[in-house]
Amino acid sequence: MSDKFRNTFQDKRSDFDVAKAPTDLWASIEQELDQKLPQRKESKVVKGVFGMKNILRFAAMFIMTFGLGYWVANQQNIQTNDSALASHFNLKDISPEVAEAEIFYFSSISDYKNEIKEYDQNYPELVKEFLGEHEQMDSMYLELKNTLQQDLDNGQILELMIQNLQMRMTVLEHQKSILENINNQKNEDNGNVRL
Amino acid sequence: MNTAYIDKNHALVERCRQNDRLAQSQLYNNYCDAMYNIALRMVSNEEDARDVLQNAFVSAFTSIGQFSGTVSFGAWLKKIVINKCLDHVKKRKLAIVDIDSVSYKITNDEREEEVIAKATPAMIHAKIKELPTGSRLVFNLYMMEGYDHKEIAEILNVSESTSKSQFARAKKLLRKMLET
Repeated sequence: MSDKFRNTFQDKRSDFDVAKAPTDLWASIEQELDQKLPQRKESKVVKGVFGMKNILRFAAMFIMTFGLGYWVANQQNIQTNDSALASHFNLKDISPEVAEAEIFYFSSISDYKNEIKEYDQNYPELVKEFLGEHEQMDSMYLELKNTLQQDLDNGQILELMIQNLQMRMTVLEHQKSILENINNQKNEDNGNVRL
Repeated sequence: MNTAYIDKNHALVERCRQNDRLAQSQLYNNYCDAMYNIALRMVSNEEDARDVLQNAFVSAFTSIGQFSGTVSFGAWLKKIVINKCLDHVKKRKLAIVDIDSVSYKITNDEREEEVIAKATPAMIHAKIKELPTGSRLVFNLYMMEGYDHKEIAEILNVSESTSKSQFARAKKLLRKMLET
């Protein structure tokens, strides 16, 4: 009956979406999700809630995880080369926003790494282990960039690249707080943290 | 094309199954505007559209285990949004009752369709919200969301001819609104 009429609408369907969702709506949804699907404590730390108990718990968790993997890990490839990643090819031509984000994250990541390296004298094994963790993520990032080079119009790859960088920031943040905490506690007889 | 659409969200959906808040917020960002517009046209005011949307997204993330991936995530989510809109309308007793009480002659007035087709999408978006509940729901589902009258009759629990007559009514009213 009105098929032609309906098709004219369907053809420009997205033009009808003129309104924007309220900017604070996600916050309300997140609040409700926090009640119905609570996150594990780990995620709260990600948000920057660094309670002492949490730090100790995660310190223990990280040390255990990293300690186990320590002897298996390849100890020769600790050094990473961020500048090599940055100059791999010109990301700016594909997505100026992601290129900008990359610069920001790389500089933050490098700052974090330097801060972690300051603990090298007191906790060399831990620092080595922590920095070693990033190697895998570096190579994952490189792999994503290689894929992007073959498929320049791939938004999902760009998204994964940003997620990789964000994840590294989160891990570095954890690592730094663990080292800070251990350092603060080192003169106290604290049974919660053991290597 | 459809497959690419599913693939686009595949990784995010998988992370949402693990209750990954970042992935949930990314999926929300991808769909919030489109879904908000659907809700706004269905329930016709911003406050209710907001409530409906919050309900729909929370429901989608809490029941993501039921998403089988046979349709795209967007299509699955849209169905949830539309169901929440209908729940809302029923709860408010803005009942679709009037839908049965007024029977419009089903005509195919080309002039009406001409006037509506010529109006800007923004204008139509605004005017749809002023339609009475029954014809508004039918017009939205038929014209905007691509349901046919048989499906509309089923989800609104009315007869197919009622759906058609309410559609005719919506067109008449829209033409009047757009011409004044």
